[in-house]
Amino acid sequence: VSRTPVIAIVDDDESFRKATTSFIRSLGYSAAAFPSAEAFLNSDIIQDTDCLITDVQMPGMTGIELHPSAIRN
Amino acid sequence: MAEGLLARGQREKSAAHNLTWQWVRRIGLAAAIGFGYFLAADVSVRLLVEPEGVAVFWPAAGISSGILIAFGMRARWPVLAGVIGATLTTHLVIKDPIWAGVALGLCNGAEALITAGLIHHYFGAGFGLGRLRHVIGLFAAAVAGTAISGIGGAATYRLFQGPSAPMLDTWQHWFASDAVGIIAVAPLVIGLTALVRRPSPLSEIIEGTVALVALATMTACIIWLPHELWETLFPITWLFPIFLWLAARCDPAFSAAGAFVVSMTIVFTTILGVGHFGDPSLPITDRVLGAQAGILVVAFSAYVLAAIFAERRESARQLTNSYLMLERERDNKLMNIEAITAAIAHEVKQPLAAIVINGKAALRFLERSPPDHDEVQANLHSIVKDGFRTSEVFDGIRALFRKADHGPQLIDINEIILGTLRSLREELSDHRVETRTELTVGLPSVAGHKGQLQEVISNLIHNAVDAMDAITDRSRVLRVQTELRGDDAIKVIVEDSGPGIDTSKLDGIFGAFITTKAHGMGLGLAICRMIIEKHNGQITASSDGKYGALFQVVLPIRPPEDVTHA
Repeated sequence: VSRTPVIAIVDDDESFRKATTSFIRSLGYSAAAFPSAEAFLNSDIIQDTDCLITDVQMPGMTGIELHPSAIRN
Repeated sequence: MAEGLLARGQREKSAAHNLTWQWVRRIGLAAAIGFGYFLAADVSVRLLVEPEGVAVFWPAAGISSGILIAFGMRARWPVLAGVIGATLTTHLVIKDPIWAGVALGLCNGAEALITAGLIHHYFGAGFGLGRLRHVIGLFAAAVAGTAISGIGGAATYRLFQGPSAPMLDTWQHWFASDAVGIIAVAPLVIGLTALVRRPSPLSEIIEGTVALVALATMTACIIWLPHELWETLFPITWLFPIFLWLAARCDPAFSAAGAFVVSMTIVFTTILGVGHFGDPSLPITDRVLGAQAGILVVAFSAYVLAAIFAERRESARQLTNSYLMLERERDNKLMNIEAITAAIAHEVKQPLAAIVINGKAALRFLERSPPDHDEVQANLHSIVKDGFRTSEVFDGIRALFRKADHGPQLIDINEIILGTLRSLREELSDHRVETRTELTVGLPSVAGHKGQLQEVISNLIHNAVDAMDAITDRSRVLRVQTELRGDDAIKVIVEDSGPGIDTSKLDGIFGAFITTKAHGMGLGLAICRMIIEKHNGQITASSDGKYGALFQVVLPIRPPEDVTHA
């Protein structure tokens, strides 16, 4: 059974995050938004994520640092 | 037509007048040169060398060459006439034949023409004593001019004195006396002419005159010094090149130390009876006089040289300094423009991108069948919000540099902090931030720009709130503290419990292009620093890189009289 791909969005800028989420939904995908890398890593959505769109420069963990941890999980 | 004739007549008359004047000036110049040349030559012929009777010194050569170099080649005929006339007169006085006087006059005139012509050819009208290349060129031209004229001179002497005058000897005497004459006198003529054309400041003329009198006095002392003292004092002159070195390159203290070393050496060797000044074969009074004179001369020269060079170095240093300051000022201006531009770009780019993305999403939701109106509505709300956010950025910038806000006011910093916190109350509770304020009551006012300081405080609080968004495992605490620092400044601390700032990034955090991705009205830390520094204050950041960051602002309390009350 084909399911709707899940795209995760990590960005600390609220309005940018919301806009991207809406745009992904308008394309017909399922979107999940997180304000920080830590919030994404602590969520249970991480196993179902097909694609990750992340900001690089964020307080706390950066987007670059997030990538290997996300793959590990 | 009558008028035309009249005008022509006047033109002719004035041209004739000019011509007359030119001739008067030429004849006057020729007479002056001739008189000067004759006087110099008249003194010179009192000491003649055997066998042919060429003068030992010929300073007259310096007069003719010097005037020709200073006035340019247009003075060649008056100079030639003056030199020939004076030479002829001189030789008639010492009863030489007329034809010999004319021939020697031609040689002397040619000498000046060759010397000045070479200078004119190689350096043009810009010749001056202030350039080493020109000075060396003058020496070379003098050597060439006298060497050539010497040939004619030697031939003339041979012709009217017969074989008793060997030509090579005569040429050598002529060459030496004329070259020395040009080198000793021509620079004075050239320098004085330049000085008359472009006078130096009075202070320089006075100083130069004093130094010249001192030099003349010293020369007189040296020349009339008793023979024994010559022997005693002469070796001291060998010290001057080293004193010159010290004065030119080092602080005056080194020259003073040098003078001290020399003086003490003279004193102790005189007392202990060793060396030059302790020579028992000389009378003690001479030795003491010599030692005292030596010390005076060495010390005086060393101090004067050191002071002159120190003045030069100081003015060079001031020039370098003012140049550096100009450069720094320009850099600062550029930095401020860069900081403002970067901050604006940073603040505006994010909401603009959000607007574009929301618009694209809305278009797609509308293309669906049926169109998803709820999603489109949400997109449009976001677009409106981001539009306001963008315009707020510009309002903020304008508020910062508004004219009405330009005069400094007396500001209660606690009031600004409380006001900012009040306006952010909703946002703080949205982000579940706990605020702890530790404001010292009764702080003195600071003088400053209210809008700008508000911007700094609001920016720091915004940054703190944003940073703590990432925190989920501990409470989000914003601590704002004010206190007196010393008795002349106020300290404001804004601390958060966020993830902190990487210690390697702390140094550059106030730079124009380092962004911390602040939300809303934050204009960036570069602008904060610019504002605080404009208030003569300091802003610093510290963090352990794990459990939060601390920003500290120090603002000076200025005496209240130079500001008006807000």
